[in-house]
Amino acid sequence: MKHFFEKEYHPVIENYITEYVEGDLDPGERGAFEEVLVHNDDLRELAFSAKGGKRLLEEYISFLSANELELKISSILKNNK
Amino acid sequence: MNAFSVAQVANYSDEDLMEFFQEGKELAFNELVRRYTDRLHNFLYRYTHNHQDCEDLVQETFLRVHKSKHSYERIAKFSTWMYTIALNLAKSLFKKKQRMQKVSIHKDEGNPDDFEMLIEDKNILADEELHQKLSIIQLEKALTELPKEFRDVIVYRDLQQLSYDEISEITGVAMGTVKSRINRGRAQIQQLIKNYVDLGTSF
Repeated sequence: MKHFFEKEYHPVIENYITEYVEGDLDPGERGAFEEVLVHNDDLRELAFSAKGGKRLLEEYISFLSANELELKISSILKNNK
Repeated sequence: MNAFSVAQVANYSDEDLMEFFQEGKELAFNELVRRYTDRLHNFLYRYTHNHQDCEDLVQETFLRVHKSKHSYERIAKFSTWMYTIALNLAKSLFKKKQRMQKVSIHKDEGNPDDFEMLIEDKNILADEELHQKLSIIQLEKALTELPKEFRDVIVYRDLQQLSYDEISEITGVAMGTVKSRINRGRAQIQQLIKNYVDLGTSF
């Protein structure tokens, strides 16, 4: 069985996930999309987890000074694994 | 959902139990407490590093779950909803401790040369420093575990805060693919962090 983040969706749905996570949907669109999420476990898991991941990364950068962040970014991008 | 059966209580999902509890079945709540007391304690210990605080927070979390049972909607996993309550309580405790960080030394009213002093208590700060360090280490570990095609776009978007257009241009990857990779990269970060907590991994 595929893990929820291995499933592929139509680009329109993918765009909705992005806008949902970024908080760019208007209340009507957001409500309609959440209705879709109620009935689709994998899509819901992906959208909620992506939202959680974004929040964790926001917390991460808030802990670092600008210089520290720059060093971390350069070290992460150099990692080719 | 079928009718509540006391004999079956251990076999119900968390979400079923929560719905039974919303219908007034107190035994369902007791089963949730039994399932989550230890897990919640371990989860909170990662943030507080203090067993006494954890015990208080676990108790307070279950109290909030009990009081706010009707605000739970089945759209969310019960555990996610409850851990969010617990984390918010832990954050409130931290803020409270931060306020306690400065100890006021009151001035001697009988002495005109005396004045009130605020002295920093560095012992309380240590927990937060540790929490920050742990969070940083966990996130970095999660980032290094991501496949490169996900990791790079996450770094561009969430650490460097580039726009989706810019990321598409830099990577030479179509916009739809960039969005899809960012969605999955963020989701995997969340899952990896959740696994570290569930497994009780110490860094």
